[in-house]
Amino acid sequence: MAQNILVPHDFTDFGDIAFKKAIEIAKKFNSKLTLLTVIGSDIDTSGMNLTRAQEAHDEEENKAKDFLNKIKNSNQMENVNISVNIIHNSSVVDGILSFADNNNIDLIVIGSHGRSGFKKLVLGSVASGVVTKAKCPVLITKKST
Amino acid sequence: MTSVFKNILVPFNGTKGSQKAFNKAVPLATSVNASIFILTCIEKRQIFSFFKFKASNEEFEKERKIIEKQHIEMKTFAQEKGVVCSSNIVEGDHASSEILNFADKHKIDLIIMARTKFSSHKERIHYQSTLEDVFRNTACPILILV
Repeated sequence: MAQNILVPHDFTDFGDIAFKKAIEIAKKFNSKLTLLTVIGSDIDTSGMNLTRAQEAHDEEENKAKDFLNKIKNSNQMENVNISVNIIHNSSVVDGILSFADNNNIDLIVIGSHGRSGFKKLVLGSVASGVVTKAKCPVLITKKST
Repeated sequence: MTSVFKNILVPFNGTKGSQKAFNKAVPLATSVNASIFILTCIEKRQIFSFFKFKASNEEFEKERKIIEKQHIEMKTFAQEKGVVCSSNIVEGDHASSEILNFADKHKIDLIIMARTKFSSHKERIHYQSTLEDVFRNTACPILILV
């Protein structure tokens, strides 16, 4: 099904569900799995000097690294080749897509928050953006599965 | 170990995209020992239909026969690869509702569809694409091919 699977994780249950499904697929097809977090422009550095702003970004990156490594280590028994990556991009969708393009990803597994109604109109969705622009297949997982 | 996927749904509307989805479903079903459900909905409404639309009963039956023939070919292909495959033709108003209802009813754990076109801005305001409607509202995983 896929040799290189990318799982974008946003530290929510939706990311966990996508990761769980990706592990099942990777085990079955002996695929390599990459966990990715995109640190976007949502870190509030207003009023900070440059040094402090850089520190805030570093803190966020370290937090993300710890979180992803924790997931990776807790799945060592699964015998799946997992790597962890953190990138900075002002757009989470663009970050995921450029990473996929540059790393020969042939399947993106992403959790969808499934927003509906007014929230959907206002907020849009990362999964929706990835599906619209991705150059490889995208597997969207849902919370109820 | 439980199977990765057991019941795969392929909504088929005769386009290259839906054929691509079926072509992907067969080897996947073979490797994970899953069953394939092919679903075609003959839509009653006319504008921006995902599947073909037919209003009268006579036209519906005529269309059904054409689709049945296509489904038989697909089923034969899948069965030759050792995959259990079922053919399903329904009549409905909205393709996405029929796909979602079918998925719920048949305990589908993977829907495979292909991204075939981008709707224009005006089109999107009035009619959400079937693919978008399905992936936003389905409770099961959906694999979207490009």
